Amino acid sequence: MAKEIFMPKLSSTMEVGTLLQWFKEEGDSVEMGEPLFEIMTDKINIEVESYEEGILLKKYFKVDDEVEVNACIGYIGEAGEKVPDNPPAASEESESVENVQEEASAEGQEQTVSTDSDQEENKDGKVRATPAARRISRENDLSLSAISGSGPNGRVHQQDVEAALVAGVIAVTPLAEKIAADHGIDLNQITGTGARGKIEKQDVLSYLEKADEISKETESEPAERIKLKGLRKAVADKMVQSVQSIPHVTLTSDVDMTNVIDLRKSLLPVIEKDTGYRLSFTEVIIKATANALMKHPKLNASLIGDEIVMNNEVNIGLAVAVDNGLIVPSIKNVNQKGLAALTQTSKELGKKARENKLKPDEMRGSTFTISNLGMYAIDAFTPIINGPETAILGVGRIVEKPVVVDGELTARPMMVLSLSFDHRAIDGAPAAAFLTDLKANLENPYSLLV
Amino acid sequence: MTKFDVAIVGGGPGGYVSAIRAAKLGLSVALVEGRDLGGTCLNRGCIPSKTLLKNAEVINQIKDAKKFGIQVDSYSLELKTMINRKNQVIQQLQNGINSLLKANKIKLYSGYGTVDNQKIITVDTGEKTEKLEAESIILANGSKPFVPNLPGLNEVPYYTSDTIFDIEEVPEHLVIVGGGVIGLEIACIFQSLGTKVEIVEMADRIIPAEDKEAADYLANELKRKGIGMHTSAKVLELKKDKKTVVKLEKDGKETSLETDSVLVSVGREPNLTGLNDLSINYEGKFVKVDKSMQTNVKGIYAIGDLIGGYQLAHAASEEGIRAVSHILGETHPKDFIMPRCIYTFPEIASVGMTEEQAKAAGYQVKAQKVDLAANGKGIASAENSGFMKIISEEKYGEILGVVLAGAHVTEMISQATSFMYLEGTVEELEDMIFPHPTLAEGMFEAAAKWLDKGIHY
Amino acid sequence: MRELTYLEAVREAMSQEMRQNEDVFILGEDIGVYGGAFGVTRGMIEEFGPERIRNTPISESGIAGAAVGAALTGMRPILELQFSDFITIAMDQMVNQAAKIRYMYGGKGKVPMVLRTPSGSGTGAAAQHSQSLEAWVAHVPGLKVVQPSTAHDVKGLLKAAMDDDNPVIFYEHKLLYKTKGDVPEEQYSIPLGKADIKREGTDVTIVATAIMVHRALEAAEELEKEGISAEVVDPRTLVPLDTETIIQSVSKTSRLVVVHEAVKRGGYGAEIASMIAESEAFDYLDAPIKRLGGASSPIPYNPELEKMHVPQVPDIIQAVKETLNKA
Ligand SMILES: Cc1cc2nc3c(=O)[nH]c(=O)nc-3n(C[C@H](O)[C@H](O)[C@H](O)COP(=O)(O)OP(=O)(O)OC[C@H]3O[C@@H](n4cnc5c(N)ncnc54)[C@H](O)[C@@H]3O)c2cc1C
Repeated sequence: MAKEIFMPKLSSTMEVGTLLQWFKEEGDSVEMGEPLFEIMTDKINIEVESYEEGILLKKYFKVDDEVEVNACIGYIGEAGEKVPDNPPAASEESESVENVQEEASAEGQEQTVSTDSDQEENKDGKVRATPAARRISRENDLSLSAISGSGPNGRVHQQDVEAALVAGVIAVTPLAEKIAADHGIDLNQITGTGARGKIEKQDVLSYLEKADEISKETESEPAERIKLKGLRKAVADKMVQSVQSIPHVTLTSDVDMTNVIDLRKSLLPVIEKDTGYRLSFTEVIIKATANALMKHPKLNASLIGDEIVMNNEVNIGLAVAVDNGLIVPSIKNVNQKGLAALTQTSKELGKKARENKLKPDEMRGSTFTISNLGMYAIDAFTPIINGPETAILGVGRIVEKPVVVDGELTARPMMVLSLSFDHRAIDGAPAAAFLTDLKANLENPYSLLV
Repeated sequence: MTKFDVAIVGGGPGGYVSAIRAAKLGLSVALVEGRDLGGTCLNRGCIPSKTLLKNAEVINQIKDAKKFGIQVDSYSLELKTMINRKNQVIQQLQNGINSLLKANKIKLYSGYGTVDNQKIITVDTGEKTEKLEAESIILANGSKPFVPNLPGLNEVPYYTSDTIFDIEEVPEHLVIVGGGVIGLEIACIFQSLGTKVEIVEMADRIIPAEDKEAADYLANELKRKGIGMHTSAKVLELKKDKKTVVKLEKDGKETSLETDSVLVSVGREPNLTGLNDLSINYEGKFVKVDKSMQTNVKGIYAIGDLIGGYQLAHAASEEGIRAVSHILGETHPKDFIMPRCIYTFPEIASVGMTEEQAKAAGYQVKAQKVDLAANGKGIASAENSGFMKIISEEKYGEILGVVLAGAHVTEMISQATSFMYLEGTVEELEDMIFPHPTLAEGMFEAAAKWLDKGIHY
Repeated sequence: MRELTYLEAVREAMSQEMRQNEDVFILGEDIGVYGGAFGVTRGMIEEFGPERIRNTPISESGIAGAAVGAALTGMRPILELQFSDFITIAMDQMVNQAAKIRYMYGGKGKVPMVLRTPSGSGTGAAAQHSQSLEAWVAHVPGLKVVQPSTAHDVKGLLKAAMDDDNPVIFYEHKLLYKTKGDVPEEQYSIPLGKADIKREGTDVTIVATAIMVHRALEAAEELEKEGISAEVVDPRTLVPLDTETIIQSVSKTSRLVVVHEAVKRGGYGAEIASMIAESEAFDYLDAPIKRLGGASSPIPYNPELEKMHVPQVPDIIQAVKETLNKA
């Protein structure tokens, strides 16, 4: 019997997936484990492999469609088998859906995670095209990725390139062309009024005039317009969702880092020798946070639907800036890790994040997030909660500030912690208590040994 | 009362061309002409002057034959035959217009028409009056020679361009008052016929609206041929003695010319016959119109010499076509790129702006002139006098104007017009291939020189 | 022009040469009175006598060895093998002797001989009498390999083969023997290494050998009806191969389908396909190169299966359409 293909649910927050591409056409045979389609979730782009073997009988969705998780997006079965013309209604979390998830994550190694910008390059490099198509596009300075192929699997043939060339031919007078080039105007944006739409000088000048007016209206013309897509779009959507649905409250507290600095100084060579990685303040802060979270489990909870889910594990997400957005790899069971293991894990995850090599599993399951802007001249800020978590810690720089210690004014390396929490799940007092404990942990890091 | 989509007053190159275009585009059309189809251009202007200029050219060739090794011992002129030929040419062309009107089912009303604001035209055909009504009216009344109020002018016989092409005897001496295009062309005709010609021009140079270099060049050439040139000279009075005496003031001094004939060609004024009932606006003597040729009265258009401006036949025609397009709902925001030809010996042809105009318009102008003295075809045919000049703006090499002076240049100006119309720049002009040997190669040379890539210059 | 069968053309080529060149003689099994397995030499013994039309024992190795020896001594032997399948027995003589001697003796000795032999399936002769093993000999430097497809070509190419100072393996397709074509009466030579464009076209190049030339032409005819213009190139000789003509054709059409009867795996089509992939025609390819060849099984005896084993006209049509994304 034909088997349904489902949109997998790859994270607890994933509600829809956007189909980026199908690797198979209807009628193609599919092996188990072969990449079947690629989707974009709120976190990642991922190739989903088939967990069935047979003929791809039906594709209900096309590229760029947004599909709800667990919705049936197609069928695999034996040639000639009958399948419904329209997708059956999305099933509840059924057995087979569970399986898909299992498969998808079990095959994690093969799944690549990449940012969108990277994605485009990859696609460009991977365009299916015949040598002739390549030659002609090369000769005409045409990017193959811009051409839709008419051949099997979208292979670009000579005629596709030629069609694109013809379509791209713009009738323009030499003078108009020169003026447009001089002003860096893309002729595609100009409507020609001459014979058969030929672009004439006046058309370019009118365009310039209009552009001038618009830029006057908006004061200054932006240098570039970048469409929100891929990771950027995912980040944008997530942020809006978080800010709009979570009542944020942010508390700040000054922390004297003198002892952490000493601690780091003494442990640095030890850990470096041990792991090859250099201990940074981040790891000490993670450790101290995990310790405080153990004492304040409410801050480690998730708010899912109308339930506050108390998490067993303390998994700390670490916000990492990547080329075109923000990725949050998750360090698992921080409370069970020593500083050496933490250093190693956090450094490795950070590197993977920047190289877009994180596995989905490594981005899942965090219960609390830390965002560290300490390398910039930032003291305090209001971090946005990484739902469904209920709190996030913002870390500022360490800077010498005048403080009064024992009645005397002295300079101390100070750092501001900014804790945003979800007021639906946590009230001010417990949050404040957590932050106070965390501050104490950092001002006396040796207490962590207790 | 018959009703038309469009009624056109005047059957000159403005009126009849508009009529045919309107009919071709599906409108019902009436054309009202009080005199001769073809208007000034065909009957008293372009065509008669060009016909007689051809006669003059033949005479010049005979005179020049010797230097080509051809001895023409004697020849004589039959003015009557020449005028007859001119009339035949007019007749042939008029017949052509007539049959075109028929072919396009244009209703022709012969008689002067009077137009009112309700767009009703009353035509007086001599025997009766007819009324017609139209959605839109195009006024193409044209123009007539302007005869200034010179003291004594009415006491002496004088010609205008309306009468001189029917002259019966070749005058010995002709004084032409006005050194514009019309005066100069007629000067060349009579100079070739053997008349002693003198031109009196009030401005400091002839054809003052044209490129200065071209005007100076032409003045010199005409002088070399023996045409008398009195510039900055004002006619004070004309007197009838045994001969006609033309009193002038030049450089503050009074002189006088004695002559047996006078041509007054100081300009033209609009024909306003039949327009009195209309509340249209004027600009000076001429009817005022907008870019689409519409007057202030909606649905009433005016074109051609009636609105002043270029005062050229093809300008009248193009303006008429624009008016028809507007009637049909099209708009033409483009500026005219108007070629202008002077059929003197040598000829002057130009298009677009003069150097002075381009500078005044704020362009970074770079003009480049190439003399035809070294032009192969020119030397071979002993027609290597003249120049070709490209007036371009520096940034994009946009061609703003072209001035050609020399033999046959009126036939070559359309190349330049094409370039400007299709917005080619100096680079393309230089890049394009010109056949050799031709006079037109001068244009390539001028473009190449403009780009500092000249071959022979 | 006068029509001859392919078989008659082969015979005429040999007879005309033997009349004027005393050094040429034929040896083979039952080629005398019987006229050979397919009757190619029928009647020749009457004209040339048993000295020059020599019957031999059933020993391909012996025949080949004798021919090599004769050639070395200045004769120009033509040897006939009844079925090209039996070349395996003559292989040592051909590969290790005939092909090598001229090279190893620095040109002091040469082996001007022609090994004529019928190849191909379609006659119900089953697995041991139907093969097309030309790729084997084409692999060996020192041997020239010819596969004529028409009566006209076979006469001219055989003349060139007989004139050649190197050993030439000359494949005659069994099914072609009875095909007819215009053949000039006089002797003529078609140079080895010169392909022939059997039909001009613009959309796809079909390189076909031997019997497949005819199937390709038939396919081209059918394709024409659907507006597809196929060019059919017959290489005529595999060694030397006229790469230039094929490259030019593919550069023009941007698509290549190679068809031969021999088993596709390791067949000569692979050589042509890779030659194109390496050539300047590569940049003009607008579709993957297609190869059609025999199935990877012995030739079946059952006539239906035998047909299915090798490419037929519909297969060629299908392959062409696939290269045009019209399948
Ligand atoms: C000597 C000479 C040489 C010229 N040479 C050239 C040349 O070489 N090239 C060039 O381009 N131009 C030349 N011109 C100018 C050209 O002739 C005019 O620009 C052109 O004729 C203007 O055309 P139009 O249709 O506006 O008016 P016109 O040609 O003047 O026609 C107007 C017509 O309207 C008729 N009309 C007027 N009022 C009424 C009415 N109320 N009812 C009915 N009919 C009426 C008139 O009878 C006349 O026939 C020359 C002019 C002259 C005098």
